Amino acid sequence: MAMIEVHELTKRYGMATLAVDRLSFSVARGEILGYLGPNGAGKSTTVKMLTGIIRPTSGTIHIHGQDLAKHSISAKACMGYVPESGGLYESLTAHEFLQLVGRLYQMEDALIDRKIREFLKLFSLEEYQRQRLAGFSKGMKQKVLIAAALIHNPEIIFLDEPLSGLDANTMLMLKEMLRDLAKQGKTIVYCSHILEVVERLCQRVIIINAGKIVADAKVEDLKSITAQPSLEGVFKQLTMAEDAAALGRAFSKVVTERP
Amino acid sequence: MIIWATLAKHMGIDYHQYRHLLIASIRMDFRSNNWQPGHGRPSAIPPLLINLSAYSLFSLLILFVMIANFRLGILLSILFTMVSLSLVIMIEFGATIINPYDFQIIGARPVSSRTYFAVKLSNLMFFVSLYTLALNILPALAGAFSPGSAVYYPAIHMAATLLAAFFTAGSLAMVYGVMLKLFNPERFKDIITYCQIVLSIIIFSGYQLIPRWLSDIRDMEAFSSFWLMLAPPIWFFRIVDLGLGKYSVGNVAGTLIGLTATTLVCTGLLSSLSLNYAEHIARLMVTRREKPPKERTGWAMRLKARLQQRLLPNPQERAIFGLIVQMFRRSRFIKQQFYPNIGMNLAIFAVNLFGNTGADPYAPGAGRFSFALFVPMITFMILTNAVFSLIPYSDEYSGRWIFDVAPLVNKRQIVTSVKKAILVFFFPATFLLNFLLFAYYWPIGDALYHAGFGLIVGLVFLQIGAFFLPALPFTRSATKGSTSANALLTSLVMVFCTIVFVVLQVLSLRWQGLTGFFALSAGLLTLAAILNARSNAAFAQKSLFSSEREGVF
Repeated sequence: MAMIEVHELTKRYGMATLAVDRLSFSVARGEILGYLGPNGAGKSTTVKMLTGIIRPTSGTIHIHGQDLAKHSISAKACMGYVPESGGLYESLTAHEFLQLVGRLYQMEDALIDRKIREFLKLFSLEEYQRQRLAGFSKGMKQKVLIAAALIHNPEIIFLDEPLSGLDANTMLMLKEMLRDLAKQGKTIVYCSHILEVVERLCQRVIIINAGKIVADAKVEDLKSITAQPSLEGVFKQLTMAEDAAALGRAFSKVVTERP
Repeated sequence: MIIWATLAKHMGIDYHQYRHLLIASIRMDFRSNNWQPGHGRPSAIPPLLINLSAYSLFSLLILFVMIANFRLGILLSILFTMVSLSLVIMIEFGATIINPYDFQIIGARPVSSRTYFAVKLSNLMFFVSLYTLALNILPALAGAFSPGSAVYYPAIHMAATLLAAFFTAGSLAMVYGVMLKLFNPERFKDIITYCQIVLSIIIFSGYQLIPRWLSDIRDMEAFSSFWLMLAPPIWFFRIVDLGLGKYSVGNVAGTLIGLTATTLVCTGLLSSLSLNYAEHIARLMVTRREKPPKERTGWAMRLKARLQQRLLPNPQERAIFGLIVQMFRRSRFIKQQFYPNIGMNLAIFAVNLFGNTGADPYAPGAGRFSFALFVPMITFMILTNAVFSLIPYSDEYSGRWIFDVAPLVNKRQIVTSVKKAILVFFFPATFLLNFLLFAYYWPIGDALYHAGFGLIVGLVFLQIGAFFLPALPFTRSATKGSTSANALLTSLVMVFCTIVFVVLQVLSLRWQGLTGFFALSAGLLTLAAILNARSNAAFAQKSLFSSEREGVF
């Protein structure tokens, strides 16, 4: 059963910018989908539309069989989202923020408290739970965001650069957790620029460029079609117009320029 | 609890979510979110408490009027509540309704548009109630002892002023809501900033004109005029009258209009605007600016570069100056807070231009200072106060790290750049408007030196304002009431100075003509120069960078 179904999804900003152009794809239960693209390709816009934060210009999104435009509340209730940036009330403490999120999902206070305790323990944040998020490091904030996305046991999880700022051990733990959740039937959409992680974690990858899907296949299939040894090579071949080495040299020249 | 939940459900609001979101939002508003690693302890006194204390002090003025003239005091109380709240909402609290800052957090959660809007509106009304209480509690209590009053007067007074406050807040929220619906997000963001000017002109002009007009009315029965029923403060004034047992057709009609209007505004907001509120806010959040930047011609660029080299010889000064200018030009957050101050100044000019009969209102005589000097003093005071109050705050405060990593060696140059930006971009226009206002009534020479004297007083205010600059430009997140609190503290000092200047003039009546003008101007310029050096030194002593503060995380 497809947990996410996207049909002809389009997003325009004004008349000039076409951020996402007629995307169609579906994601099955228990699947980990890698969603890749260069900067400005439309990844975050797509995720914001899929999570109901912004409304598409045209096209439809079905979450767990429900039309997101018509049944947004019930569709949102079964999804969790780790945004790329922001997404926290920094004046609240970690405990207060997670408690608020749990309550918004109509969870019982006892269950919320138990989950908060366990999450914060797993993320080594126990001693900071009564401190305001404004004082947290980037990695600590990211851990709170991840906990907030998972606290209500969602069926579908959207992760936009979830490893940003995390230490190596937490990254390993998170990757294992995602694999385990997928085995339990959770659907995961994973956006990232760290291609090695996507290659190892995701069964299938969608690559978008300039708002359009340029590839949608299993990682191994993509590598054999493009005759590239790694996902990085595939990504470069499909999305990069210029030679990376030449661009790097040009940058270096600008950096060392003298008056 | 069950009644509230049922009522909320009937209105399409999830009471459970509403309650928790509202509590969280109010809790956040009472906390200073400027606490960062290296900032030490969070502020002990939230800006809101400073504001509320200041408003309680202001209410003493109303109290004195009430003791002198009970009914005039009631009207002034209602009027002052409505005007103060309008300005506070426009400058700071309006953002509660139209700022999409937390939609990133709430947008992906199962919270309905109506619940989200109800939280925003309730948050606004909560703070409106607090301000109303601060402004009215003392006059309400004093009113109970006035002749013709009753023991239960405080309850009636508070009910009427709270209704007036809700009507004011609801009306402004309605204006924002209608604009949010009518215009596309990009235009809305521009329009809202310009609307601030228009609204502040209307509100502030009304506030200036009504007391003048009131002073002409000795017989309060003049309020029975039909046309006055069109003025919202009169509706709420009638409620108090009716509450005191003065049954008349006018009082009943006024009460009914006031109650109906407040109910319509509040329920209208919930029923019409809240339905698509989340969608409008989401559009605001993702909208992008499509207007390409203006291209400057070669000679204009060269002239600008040459002027900058002259005015700002140091690259550090140029950097800060450029940042201030770009933020005031482009940041809608800053424009929204700053433009009402321009509106207030324009209202002062307009009231003085059109509020008179056409004859010379000041009768300055040849070279004599007059009461009219309040106009340039107040306009320069409002201007400098607004800029210095706003400069520390920005919604783009996360860029503050740049100051911590850049090798800023001379802190004095930072405050000097701020002063130069104010001098270059705000002072000439204010001087010109003052000059034009005076030139309308007086000979050019008189107008010139009155406007010039205002400019010199403005220079003194500029230096006073610099003492109150607490942080580097645009490095703090604006908590609710922070700008107002900053402005209140600064303005209290400036008001004191204005009084001193006026006293100085009165004392120096014998220095008339140009000699007097030059003598007083020279004295003030010397004072400005001394304050300039002192304020620069004081700023350099402040702990501005993370490395200078205690409590590193």
